[in-house]
Amino acid sequence: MTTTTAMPTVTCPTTGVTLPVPPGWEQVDAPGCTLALAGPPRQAARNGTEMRASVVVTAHPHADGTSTDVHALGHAALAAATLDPGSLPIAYDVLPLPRALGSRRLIVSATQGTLPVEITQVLAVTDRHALSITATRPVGDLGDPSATTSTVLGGIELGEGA
Amino acid sequence: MSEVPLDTYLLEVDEPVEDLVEILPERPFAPSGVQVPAELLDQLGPTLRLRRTPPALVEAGLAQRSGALTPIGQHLSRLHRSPDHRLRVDATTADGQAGHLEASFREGYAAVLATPSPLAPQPRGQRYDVDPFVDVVDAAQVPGVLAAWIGLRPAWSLATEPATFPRHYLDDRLRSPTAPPPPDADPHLRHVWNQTWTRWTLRVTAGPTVREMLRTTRTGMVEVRPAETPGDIHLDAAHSSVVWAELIRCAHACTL
Repeated sequence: MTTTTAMPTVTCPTTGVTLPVPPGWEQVDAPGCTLALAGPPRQAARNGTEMRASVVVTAHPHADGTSTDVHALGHAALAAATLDPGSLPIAYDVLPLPRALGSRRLIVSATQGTLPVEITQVLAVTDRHALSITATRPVGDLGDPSATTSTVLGGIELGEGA
Repeated sequence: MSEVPLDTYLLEVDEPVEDLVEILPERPFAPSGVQVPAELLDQLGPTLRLRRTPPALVEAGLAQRSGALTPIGQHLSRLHRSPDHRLRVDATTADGQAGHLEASFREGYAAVLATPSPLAPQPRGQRYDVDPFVDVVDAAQVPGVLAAWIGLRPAWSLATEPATFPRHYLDDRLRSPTAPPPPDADPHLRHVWNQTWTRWTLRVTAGPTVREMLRTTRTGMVEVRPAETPGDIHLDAAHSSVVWAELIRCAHACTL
């Protein structure tokens, strides 16, 4: 982990993706992910259920001589978001990311167990990978200014190795 | 080359982006809870003052045959009759069919009363002459229910010109889909004008806000605001992420 004057950051050695680490957040292990961060536990429902907001990075290297099309990457994410009848795709747009060949942002309203959550997925095609950077946070926590998945997603940097 | 369908209009203006209408099917609103005649909800007091307990309340699990309210009936009664705040969305179809969703907040919970939604109707024709559904949910669930009711979904929002024009153009268009846009409308506004529109409003007691919005098929949500000049309006694209954040903000304000 390196430190800047603004906020500590963490860089994934496999993909070159760098994310800021807000106060109270930490790097955690997550199966299948090249990088994962988790926020502090917060009450997410009236019944006292707690949840940790999280941001995870997954990467799929391009097959030799091919490159994933950002339209196809977005299409697949949109299709996946409709599989669960409890999920509702909310928003989708072009999210400019330096060094990305193409990028999109998908926001989905969903539930984890009984908790309503907001899932924001940043999709990016780079020279070497199809990247998915997925932030999950409880909807019940969104009115709190300390909810910081947006801080993490707003600070994504793609290194040369991406 | 990708085989993903692209938005025809935006492709013509050199913006090759996905055709979200083609990719994502419309999602009809699926209500939760129980169906209860609206007039009976207003009679849900701490003790029912009726000679005979309405069978509809018993069947809905809100009252016992003796007349006493069940625990869920008592909870619903408190929320419905004495909320800290209310939030209400109204929508009207082009042919005048109206629906609404009302959420009554108290102590972290909300009673949600929802009619069928003109904004997210059943694909083979929606009946509106039915009893509303009522449910008690954690307040954190309200934004998701609202989003489903207003048919919020990904769409490509367009910045349109002119940003301000006389209101009568909008009112004429709401009355007739063939009514023309303002004469100086740019291509984006003409494209928005050509969509199917459904008007809806959002009112929240936890603030002075009354929002007037349009749901359009391909160009998402559009907000209508009064302009400084009397009789004029601002018409602005409201990206669905912004509408979603506003729903969350309003629901959160109702819990404070």
